[in-house]
Amino acid sequence: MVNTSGQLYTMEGIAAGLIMILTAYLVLGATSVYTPGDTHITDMQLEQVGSDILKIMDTPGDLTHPSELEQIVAANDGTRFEQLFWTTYLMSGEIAAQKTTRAGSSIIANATVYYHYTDRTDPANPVAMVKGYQLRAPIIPFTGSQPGVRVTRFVKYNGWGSGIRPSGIPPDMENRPQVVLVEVFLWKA
Amino acid sequence: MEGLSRRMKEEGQWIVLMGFLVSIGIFFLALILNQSTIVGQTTAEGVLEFPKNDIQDVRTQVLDLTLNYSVWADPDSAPSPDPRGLGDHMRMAEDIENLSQHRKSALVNYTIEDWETTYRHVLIHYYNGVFEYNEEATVLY
Repeated sequence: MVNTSGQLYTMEGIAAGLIMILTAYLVLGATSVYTPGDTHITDMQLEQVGSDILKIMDTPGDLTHPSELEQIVAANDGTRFEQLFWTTYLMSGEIAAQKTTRAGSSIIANATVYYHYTDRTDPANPVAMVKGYQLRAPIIPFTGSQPGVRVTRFVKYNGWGSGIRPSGIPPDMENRPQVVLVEVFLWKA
Repeated sequence: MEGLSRRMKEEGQWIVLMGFLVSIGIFFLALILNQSTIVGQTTAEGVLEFPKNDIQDVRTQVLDLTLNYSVWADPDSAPSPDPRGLGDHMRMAEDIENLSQHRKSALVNYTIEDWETTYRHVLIHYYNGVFEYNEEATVLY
């Protein structure tokens, strides 16, 4: 039976070869370990939801009125921002998986408005500056240990015209039509 | 095993060997299945790493300003009669450039190439060090 034992030896050789290839594959693959900690799936989701909400807030209901976000910035109305961003959008059953309350959610947000102005303390050498003021404070201070995401939106702000400077608007902000950046920092406490 | 013939012993070896080969095959399939989850994850990360939201934001704002404010440099046209002045638009463009640079680490600028009574033509440039985006957009009145 020379033929049969020859076939058997061939198959054994193939099996041994497969084992060697498998071993080499596992050894090489062991150098890169991909753990769930490397992924930022939840952060990415938070970032997308935050961007979408800011986009919704910056979309006017009709062409004759400014968007809600523009109105909030113009009035420096942090309470209204909180109400819209949280109650109306983030905590609605349409966006969150389940309708919940702010206290029941562990997502915390801090909203800041950044503006650009020209520092003319040295008239010969004007300097472009960017500064920010807080639109809405977080309910729990940021400790720095949680991973957070930043979502932003450019918003038009027409200034306060001939009226008085609204409270909360820093003294170096220029009174003119301008574009400001609303920056919302979101994290899970 | 005294009673077994030589032929029966060989058949037993065949069965054991084939079972072994099949098990290695199944192991390989399991490895491939294992990879598929990681592929989905890295793809999703790659998609969101692209600054889609930033670009859309800049783009929306630039197109809005282009449409609604006077143009500051058009060699062919007289200054705009639009009361929402020339200087406002220039300073708002500077706002976008400076805010992008300071807060988003991105270079943004735009030029209005052509200004006619029926349309405006604008070039938008965005670069954040990794991704570059250029667009030539036409805004109709």
